[in-house]
Amino acid sequence: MMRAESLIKRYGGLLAVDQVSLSLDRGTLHAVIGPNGAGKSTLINLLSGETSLSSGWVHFKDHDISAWPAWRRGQAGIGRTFQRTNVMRDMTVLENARLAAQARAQFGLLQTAANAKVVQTALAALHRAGLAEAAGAIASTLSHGQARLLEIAMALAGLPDVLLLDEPLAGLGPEETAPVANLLRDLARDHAVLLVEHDMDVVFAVADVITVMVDGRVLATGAPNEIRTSAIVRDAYLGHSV
Amino acid sequence: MIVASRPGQCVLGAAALGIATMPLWASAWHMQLVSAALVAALFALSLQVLVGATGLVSLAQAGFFGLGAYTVHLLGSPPVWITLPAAMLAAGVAALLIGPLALRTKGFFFLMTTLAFGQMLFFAFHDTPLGGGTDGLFIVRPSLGFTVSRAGRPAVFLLLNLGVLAIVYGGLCWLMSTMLGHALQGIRSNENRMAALGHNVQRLKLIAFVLAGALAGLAGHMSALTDAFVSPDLLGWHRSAEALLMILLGGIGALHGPILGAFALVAIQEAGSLLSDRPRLVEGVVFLAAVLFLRQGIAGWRLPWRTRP
Repeated sequence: MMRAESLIKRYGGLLAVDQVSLSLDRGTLHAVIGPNGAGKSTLINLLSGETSLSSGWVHFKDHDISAWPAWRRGQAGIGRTFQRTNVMRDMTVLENARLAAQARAQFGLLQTAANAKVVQTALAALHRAGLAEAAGAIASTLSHGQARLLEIAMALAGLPDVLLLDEPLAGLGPEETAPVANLLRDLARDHAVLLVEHDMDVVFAVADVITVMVDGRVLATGAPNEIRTSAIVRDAYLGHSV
Repeated sequence: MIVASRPGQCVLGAAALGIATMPLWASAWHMQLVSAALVAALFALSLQVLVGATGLVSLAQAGFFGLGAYTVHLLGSPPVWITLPAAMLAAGVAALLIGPLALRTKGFFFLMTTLAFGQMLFFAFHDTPLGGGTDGLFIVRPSLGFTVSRAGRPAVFLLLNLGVLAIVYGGLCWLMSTMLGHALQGIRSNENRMAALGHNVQRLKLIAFVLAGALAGLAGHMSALTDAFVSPDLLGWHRSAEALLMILLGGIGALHGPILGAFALVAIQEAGSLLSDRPRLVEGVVFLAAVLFLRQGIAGWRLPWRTRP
């Protein structure tokens, strides 16, 4: 579905992302882990188009999208969430989801914003993310946990093929984590998912493939069991935490 | 962007009816005063498409207003059914040319870039024969399709300006309920997220910029029609700033804010010159009070009744 080849992002002398290649397929949850500063968020920004590549290629559904701006990638079916909640704070939850849904739908701009199909798509996304009850709430009044779910719901409302999730569990309490972990597993059934996450328990529980990044490079890629038992990963990153 | 609640729409409608009956009871001077306020309201409303709806603060708006006014003169005052669309077209095309350049910048730099483009338009009319001199000139009024006596003019132009403002306001109310209107509000709220969701933010902003420019051209056309006078001063940046003040005074978050603000500003200016030798001082004090105590503008007075679109 989506393939990244030899991605490089340079900031001055710093190589934030160095020769990273990976592929994302429908039905697979690909997790990227690594210490802070490993380049995980930069990687997501390179895939979503927020950040421009220094070199490398991004392919999506047989298109070379390396030079596409963020909006065009979003329009093509690449949805993303942000590490720090990034929504239209003064609008309601439903309005946020509706704006996501209408961006993908090829409707005339002069149709009513309450277009039945758009509203239906938005509500379905809210429902799947478990946020249907808060549909009428102003986004800025949501709890942190709900705001994280809104991030996911907005990405979903765009009916994406690929989901790039940047730390969806950030700041969630233990009791909030389990339902979101289940949601991630559920999303991987019909999407190609890239998950950047710090919660190792969740990552090893939900991921099909794990890529370990350190200092902008891919240290190892493999199934959770291979990563867990890999001596290189253990030495370089996981240490005694797993 | 808040569209007035139902009671609010009733108040606006009642005020419009009151203005429409002015020819029956008001003096010519009062009708001219209200006419000027209606044109100012139309102009401020055009700017609200950028400021309140999209979150773009522009100082080029007066340039488009003046361009609309000068179109009447430059075409040699053909009938109004030619001048009106021509004025909107001229201003819209100018906005279409300036927009892609100005919209490359954001925030403060957008403000400065639009100031520069606005002033370019100003000097194009101020320093060249195009504008007919720095002091302006009286123009021939385009024919309305029927003859208007000198005594009938204030009433006719009052009703004309009221009608145009009502149509534009109604149209913008509708626009704000469409996907385009919501997308513009999304951009005002969080531009980057809108792009990540797949909205072509630059194109949407350009649509707003051109629409606002064309409507400013319409306001300029109505000004030329009403006053039969144009001057380069119409294009000056301080006119844009005045429209921004009207929006601030009336309510930046409400579509009807600029209308309330325009009437309030005209009223303050009149009251100021009646009450004191220093009307500008009165204006300043009122603005200071408005900024301190009326954060939502006049439109925010009835907070509990406000509804979301």
